[in-house]
Amino acid sequence: MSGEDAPMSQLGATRPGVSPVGAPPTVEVSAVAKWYGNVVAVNDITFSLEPGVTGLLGPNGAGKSTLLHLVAGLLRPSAGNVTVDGRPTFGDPAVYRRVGLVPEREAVFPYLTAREFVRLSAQLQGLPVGTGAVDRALGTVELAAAADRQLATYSKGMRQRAKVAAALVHDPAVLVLDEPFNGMDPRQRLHMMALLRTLANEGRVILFSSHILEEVERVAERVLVVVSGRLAASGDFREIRRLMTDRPHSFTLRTSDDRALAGRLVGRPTVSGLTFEGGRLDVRTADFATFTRELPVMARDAGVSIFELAPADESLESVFDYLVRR
Amino acid sequence: MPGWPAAAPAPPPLPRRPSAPVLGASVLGPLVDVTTRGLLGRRRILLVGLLALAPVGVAAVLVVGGGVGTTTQLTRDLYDSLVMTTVVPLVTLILGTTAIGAEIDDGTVVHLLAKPVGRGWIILAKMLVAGTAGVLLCGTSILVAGVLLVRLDSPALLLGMLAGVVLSVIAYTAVFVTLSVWTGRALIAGLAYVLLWEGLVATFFSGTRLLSIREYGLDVAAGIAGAEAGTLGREVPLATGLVLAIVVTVLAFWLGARRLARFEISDAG
Repeated sequence: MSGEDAPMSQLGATRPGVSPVGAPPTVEVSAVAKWYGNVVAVNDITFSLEPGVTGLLGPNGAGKSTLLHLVAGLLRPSAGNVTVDGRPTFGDPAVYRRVGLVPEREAVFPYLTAREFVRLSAQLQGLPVGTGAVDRALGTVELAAAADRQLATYSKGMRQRAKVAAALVHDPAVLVLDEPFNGMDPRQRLHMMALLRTLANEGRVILFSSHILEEVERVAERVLVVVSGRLAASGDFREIRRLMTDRPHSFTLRTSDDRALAGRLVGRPTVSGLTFEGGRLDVRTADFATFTRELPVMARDAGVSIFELAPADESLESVFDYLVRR
Repeated sequence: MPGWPAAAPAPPPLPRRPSAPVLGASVLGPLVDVTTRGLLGRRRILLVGLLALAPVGVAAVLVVGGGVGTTTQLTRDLYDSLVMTTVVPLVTLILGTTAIGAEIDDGTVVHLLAKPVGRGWIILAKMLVAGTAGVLLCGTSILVAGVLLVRLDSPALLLGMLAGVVLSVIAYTAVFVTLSVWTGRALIAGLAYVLLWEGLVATFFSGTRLLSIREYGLDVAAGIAGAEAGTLGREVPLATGLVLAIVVTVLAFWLGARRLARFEISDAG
């Protein structure tokens, strides 16, 4: 399949025939909440989106999908407003002229080929036949070679790309993607990231969700962190990254002489807490960067060998938890 | 122009954006197409086919068994108690709930909903496809079974039965498609309607017949078949059944389109 062998440098770099989006779209989410009976899925979230890539980051079950579906007009806000270009998204099919949606659920019509699936999307967008929009969308996601195979025979990553092609076929100014990198291999992931960047450079608003920090870090210039249905942080990615790095960290140490090392550590201002028991040293630090630089030096000076140094709470959940409590 | 790179070929013109905010009749073709392929692609269509064939099988057994003198009465019984009570409601229930209910269940309906398409056209396409499949299956079935039993001796009876089947298939389909967008348990709700309401309540209390699709079909059949329908003794004249069936169908379509316009997908998390 020639499409699979395309050189990396060209991927997503240019898309012939696609000019930058005209009027910049506006997406406003103001004081939006969504609840199901007693369960609050999304609680009082406000943000607006500008052209560029915005990552929606949060642990599983945080309400990311709910929020994306609210933006895409497939859920009615229980409170607040979601508008695209000033018009509420729910109950207004016309909004899909401006918005493309790549849902998380893998389900596609398995009996259609990718070309038929994208063509259906083009027809339901009212695109005239023969403009090349279908082929262009398939080419954009590198499915041209496999376009005439049934979607049932596709891998998860290929299906994902077919959904992206279907969402892109009408050149939407706003593209909403729910966990677009799920099920993709590293190469497809890189390609998708490059594609999102290219689409953003054309003036589009791109909003995608992910529970993986590194994915968001690599593509998004702005981040919305959602935890337990609430917006825990939002803004420039570097800002959020700094918040995440500067939070208190805990480490577990096993050394040749815990007591000697503990004695030295206690004197350091970077160490905010220390537990020493049962052949194990637990250290808490408020300054992650300095601590990791100092530790080896102190161990050497004390003549102590470090057998093991492990972060005690590096799960994404604990990071999110910190952001919420901050 | 020596020394200059060749001019890039002019990009193809951008797709023209149609002026109408929401698309109308032009999407019916593609919607019907994808719905048809979806329906034919599901395994349960085989089950539906077998179910629809049941009256033909029963008729064949009766013919081979040789009770040929009383076939008009037999045909009426077959029509009344097998075709109209079981085959038509179940076939349309499965077709109607599959046409859109299955897409709601597996999430593919999102690919139709996230489009600038008037919701009525989606509902209409689903009803058209499920209804056509139902008419073809049940209509063929009753015609073949009828011809096996009465040959072509009673054309009015055959025509009446066919009309009754077609009319009730259309009304049932509209109701079951709409039921699928109103509740995730459309199959249960539909079965309850067919078995409990039409099967029990409507047989005991004649007033409730006005709310029974089966009765509309039987009315129309009796009205057309005339004397040949004989003992069926309909209380409601042909026109009433016909009008009620149309009212139910239009009402179901309107309710379905209305519901889909405010539809919230349920796989949020």
